[in-house]
Amino acid sequence: MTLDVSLIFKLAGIGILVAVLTLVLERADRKEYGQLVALAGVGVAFIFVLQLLGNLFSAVKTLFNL
Amino acid sequence: MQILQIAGLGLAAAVLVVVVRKERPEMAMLLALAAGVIVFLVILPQIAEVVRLLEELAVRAHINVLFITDILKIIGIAYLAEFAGQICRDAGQESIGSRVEMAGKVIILVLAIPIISAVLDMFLKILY
Repeated sequence: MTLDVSLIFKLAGIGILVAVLTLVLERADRKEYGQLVALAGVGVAFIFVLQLLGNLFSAVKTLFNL
Repeated sequence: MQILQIAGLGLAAAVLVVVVRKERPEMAMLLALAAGVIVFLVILPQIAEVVRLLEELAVRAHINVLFITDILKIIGIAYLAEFAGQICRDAGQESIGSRVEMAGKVIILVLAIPIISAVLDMFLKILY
């Protein structure tokens, strides 16, 4: 299996983007929108990670006959 | 040289986690989780190789297959429980992590019941 680093960079990009966006929105007195952006970012990142985690769990399941 | 790739991935992930952690701790946690999962997925084929070797040895030595599958199950459960517990601990939830690990231990004990009773049977047979 090849090493897939793109997800790491994707997640870091989402994190940095969300951080910047919340900062800008807070400066512009839109704190509610900032919170919504943070929530959406976490949701998207969580979906990515969940897919990967599902792969891991099914792989472990088949490997160890769980 | 797979270890070079894995070491590079770990270092890159660690740097990115440190960058993101101050502003968005929850993203840093997801990032660390993803890095751990990717490393394990990369190393999985090698583990499969080792497991195949173990099974072959067991077949050659005429060991009961039930015991080998049980032991493999125990290894898998131990790994998953450890993984989840460690992630919880990294996220600062010490108590949830230790609960997850405790659940893993209990399930392992339950799985080991047939093996333990088989050992006991053997002892009793030898004694009487």
